[in-house]
Order: sequence, then structure tokens, then C-alpha cells
Amino acid sequence: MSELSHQHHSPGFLKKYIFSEDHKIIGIQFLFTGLVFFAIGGILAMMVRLQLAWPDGNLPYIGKWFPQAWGGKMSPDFYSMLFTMHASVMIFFVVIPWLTGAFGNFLIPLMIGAGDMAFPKLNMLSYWVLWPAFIIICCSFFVDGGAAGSGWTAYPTLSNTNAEAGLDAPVAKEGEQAKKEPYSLFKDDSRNSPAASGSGMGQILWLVSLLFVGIGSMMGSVNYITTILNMRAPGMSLMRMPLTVWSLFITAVLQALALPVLTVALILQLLDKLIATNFFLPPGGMTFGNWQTTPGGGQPLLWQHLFWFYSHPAVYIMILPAMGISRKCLPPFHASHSSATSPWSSPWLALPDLALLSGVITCFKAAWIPVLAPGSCWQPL
Amino acid sequence: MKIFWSLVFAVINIGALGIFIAAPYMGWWLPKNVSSFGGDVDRLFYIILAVTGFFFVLTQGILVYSMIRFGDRKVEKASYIHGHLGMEALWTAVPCLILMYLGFVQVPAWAKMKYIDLETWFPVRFSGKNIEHDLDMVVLARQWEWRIRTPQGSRAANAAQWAETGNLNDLHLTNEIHAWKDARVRIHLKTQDVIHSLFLPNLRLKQDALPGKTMPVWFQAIEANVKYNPATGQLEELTPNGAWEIACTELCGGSHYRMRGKLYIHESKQDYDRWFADAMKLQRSHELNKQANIAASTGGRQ
Repeated sequence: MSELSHQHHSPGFLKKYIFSEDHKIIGIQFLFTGLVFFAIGGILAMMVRLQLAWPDGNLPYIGKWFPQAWGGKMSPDFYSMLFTMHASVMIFFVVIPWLTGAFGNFLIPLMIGAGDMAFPKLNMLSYWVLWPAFIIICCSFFVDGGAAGSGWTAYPTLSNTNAEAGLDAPVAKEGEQAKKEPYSLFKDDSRNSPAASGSGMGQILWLVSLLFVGIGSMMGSVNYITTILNMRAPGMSLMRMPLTVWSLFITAVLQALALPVLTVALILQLLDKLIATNFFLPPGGMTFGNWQTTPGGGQPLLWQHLFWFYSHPAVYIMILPAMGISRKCLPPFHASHSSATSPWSSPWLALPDLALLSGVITCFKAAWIPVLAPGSCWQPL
Repeated sequence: MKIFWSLVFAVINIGALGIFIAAPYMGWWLPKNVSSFGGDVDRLFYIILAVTGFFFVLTQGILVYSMIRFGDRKVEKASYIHGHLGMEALWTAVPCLILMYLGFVQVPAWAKMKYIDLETWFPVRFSGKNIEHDLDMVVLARQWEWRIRTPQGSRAANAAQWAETGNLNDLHLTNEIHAWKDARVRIHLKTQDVIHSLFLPNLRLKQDALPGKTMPVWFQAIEANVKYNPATGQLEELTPNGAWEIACTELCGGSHYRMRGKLYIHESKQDYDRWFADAMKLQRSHELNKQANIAASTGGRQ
């Protein structure tokens, strides 16, 4: 009987280490998948550096792997793809999963004395919903035109212009039936972009992949906020909470507020690309070489507003947990064993951060009304 | 030994500081300013540099001092201060005040850049009123070049209309902006495909071009870099390294890096007019040649 009940309580390998609901295991999972993407992002950065080191010459080591047409050199579009994907991978697949996913999951329950996260299943989901993103972003390197190449900011109309279906398709000779090749995701001409070679299928996969990352991060942030507010051990008041948890808490709030806007923007751009809506295409249409696009009815600037609503706070999403961790790790090294590490001092240390944070965010919000913020250089109006 | 490394650290910091202080005087830093409002932009840059530089010296100085004083010798224990409300209020208030100061000090510079006439705060935007400017110009960005169009007689009669439609006797150029010294140049900035950004570093001017919009920008160059020689038909550089750059500063596709041009500031309006007349003649002869070629190839049928 006791054996049976023991078996009942110990989950199998799959449940314990793979589809785990334990916050520590999930934290470790975030850490290790982040490491894999850290390597991928690092390789992309090394290739950027390699090109910069031999700007005009044939590239050593990797030159022979390039297509014949490039002549041992890196094509400009490939270079755009490299830094675009480097930034995207490092931001969305390394820094954010590490700082919020890995450290948040591992540290929050331990530091506030909770048994686990408030929603263990949601926590598991917040990790596993990233896997479609991992797979899609890796696939996007191999589609026609290469991975996304319009910068990690993916500004329209560089990113969302589609060529008309069949514009690039080979023209059939007279008296000959046009060959129709079987559909393949990796050779889909109909979504090629006249603006940049990576803005075809590569851009679509980039958008889909980031959608999954966004949804995963939102799940995580809801979990952190609930856990921190509701599951602190008796006596662990908010003002006694360690600074690391404070920083993770503020990060989670920021994510919960800002990320939905990016997610919406990604969906809008995806609609532009897939079903030819005109959220970000200008009313007058555009001219690429001899080809005139149909008039849109949208506004390319709208993307910048939506995108930066997330990406300015994202700067603090990325720095705050790191600041919180370093404030906790540093004191032991300068022999300050007294109350510097005690939760008592945390509210005083957290206050400037809070002030800075709210101030900066208010500034950027105000910057959207040009009269209020004359110095907002990124505002092109 | 710890003192040795503290001193190495201090020397590196002092060296870095020295380079920062020397850079503006040695011309290592910013390209030569030739714009009427460029001085204000540069001043803002140096104010911010001075503020950050002051805090760099302060924090690094305290760090080096502490390393030498407390690093090695166990003569005394450092004292720790906790929960000092006054100090915390101070280091919150000081950055706040500095940021507010920077926020206000930039307003006049911004106003000068955006408004062509500061006296009346007349917007560079086209309100239909008679704006004091000397030269109209349409800069049309495309993948991957700048197409510049200037009207006969420098100023367009109905500028907003002209910017969209143009006249038959406009001068068309690629990757070359021509103006003369002290001319108030109004640029109607457009793009025909993706977002580009017109950057004239010597004029301290940068403006995004948005698809579907005509963006107004203006500049006034206070120095010339070329003189036209009608005898040879060449532009002669007045100063060594006289070529001032036009660049695109918004990723606009694979060949973004190639999207560059040159800015020519003539020494006077007469010089500009002489060059314009010859450039116009050249353009006409090209057009006639082209028409003749078309006529020849089609046998007179068009």
C-alpha cells in the first residue's frame, strides 16, 4: 500500500524533467534553451564581424560555402539578415527568457517563501509555448529569400510589402504550358517582397515566431505578478521583499502592460503580409523599380508607435532584473554583511528605480505628441 | 600590489578622459559644422558630454580613492551608511534636475531646426504663406539613391503643388545636392518605396522620409565648398576634403550602404546660377539625344 502511494506521488521522468510544473525545473529549462540560442545569436554576430573585418575581400573559412553567384563574398541581403536575426535572437530568445524566464521562475518562489508559482500549469505552458517559436525561427533561415532582413525593428514598408503573386514566377514560353511546381514552404515565390529579399517568407515566420514568444512572456508575467502579490510567506511584506524580487516584479508589470501592444502590432503586420490588408501601407502606393504597388490606406508610422510602445519599456525589462540581481550579489563582495543585503533597505533602493522607470516611460509616451517632447529624435514627424 | 593595479586603473581612466577633452579641439569627433543651427546642436552635445564627464570623474575618482585607501592595508574598516534619507533624496533630485535642464535647454535648438524663421516662429510646414526662403528642392529617396529636383529660378511659384507635380524645366540630379552659401534651402523630402533617412552630417540635419508623406526640412549653409568653373565645366573644391556627404541613416534594404551622395555649397548665388544654366543645357542636350535616339530606333514613329 505504501509502495503504491509512493508511486502515485512521484511523477515519471517525463513529468518531472520535461513537462514539469516545478518552478525550478522550468527555470532551468529556460536557462538551457536560452544557452542554445545564445550560441546561435553569437555565431550570427561572429559572421557580422567577419564581414566587417574583410569588407571588400573574399571571406576566409566561410566564403566557400556561399553560393557561386556571390563569388566568395557575402551578399548585402545576407548581411542584413545576419544582424536582423542576431538582434532578434538575442533579445527575444536569450535576454528576455533568461532574465525573466530563468531567474524569475527560479528565484521568485524561493526568495518570497512560496511553495511554487501561483499557476504551475500556466508556468509550464509559458515555457512550452516558446517551442513553436524556437522551431519556426530556426526554419526561417532556410526559406526562399532567407530569414527576416529588415532589422529587428521590422519597419514597414521595408518589411511588409508583398510582390503581386507570380511577379517573380518564370514566364512561360509561347506554346508551352507553365510548369506548376508542387507547393513548398521553402520555395514560395508568391510571398517574395520587392523591398528586401528577407521580407518574404522569412519575415512571415519571424512575425509568427515572435507572436509565440510574446504570448509566452505574457503568461509568465501574469504568473509572477500573482505569485508575488498573493503567495509571500507570513511576515514577508512588500516592503521587506528582496530587491531582486522587486525588480522582477516591476519587470513583470511592464511586460503585462507593454507586450500586448507589440503582439497586436505583430498580428497587424502579419495580416498585411498574408491577406493584403493595409495597416502599414501608405495611401499613395509605392514604386519599386518598374513595379507600382496598389494604393494602401494605412500609415507606416503606426508601426513605429506600436513597436516602440513595447520596445522602450523592453530596455528596462532587460536591465531591471540584472540590476536587481547585481544589487543582491554585490554587497557580500565588499564585506558589507550588515543590513545592506537585508530586505529592510530594499524599498529605499527600489524607489529611485521606480521613479526613473515611470519618468522615462511617461517621457516616451509624451514624445508621441511632438509639441510636448521637442527632443524626441526618433519621432520622424 | 593592489596599489599598483589601482594606479593602472587610474591612469587608464585619466587617459580616456584626456582623449575626450582633446577630441573636439583636434577635430577627431564631429564633422565640420557648416550649418546655421549646427552650433546649437553641437553645444547640446557638449553640454551632455560635460555633465556625463563630470559624473565619470566623480565616480571613478571615488572608486580609485577607495581602492587605494581601503584595498590593501587593513588599517581601518570602511564605514557603511544605511537609510540616509537626505543622501537618497539628493541623488534622486540631482539627476531629476539635470534631466529637466536638458529638457528645456534643447527647446531653442529644436525650434531653430524646425522653424525656418525664428523671429516669427514661422513653421517650415507649408501653410501657403510667403515663407522667406531662397531655394526649393525636392529630394526623392528610392532604393538606393537620392533623386534631387530643383526649379528654374531657384524658387517654385506654388511650392506645395510643384513638389508633387514638378515643372518641365526642372533640373534633375542624382545623389548631388547643390545650394549656395547663406541660402535658405527648403527641402520637400519624399520617398517612393520604403522609409529612408536623409542625413547631412555637416549641416547637422537628419530627417526620416515616410512613404506617402512629404516632409519639410530646411537648412542654411554658412560656408561654401565649391566654385564652378564655366570654362572647364568642372566644380573646383575650395577647401581640402571639401566633399560633404549625404547618407541614408535608416535601413532601407540590402544596398542601404550604397545610398550616398555629395553636398555642394557654391560660394555665391551668381556661381550657383552659372552652374545651374550649364547643368540645364547639359540636361537638355541629353534629352534631345535621347529623343533623337528614340526617333532613330523607331523610324520616326513614336
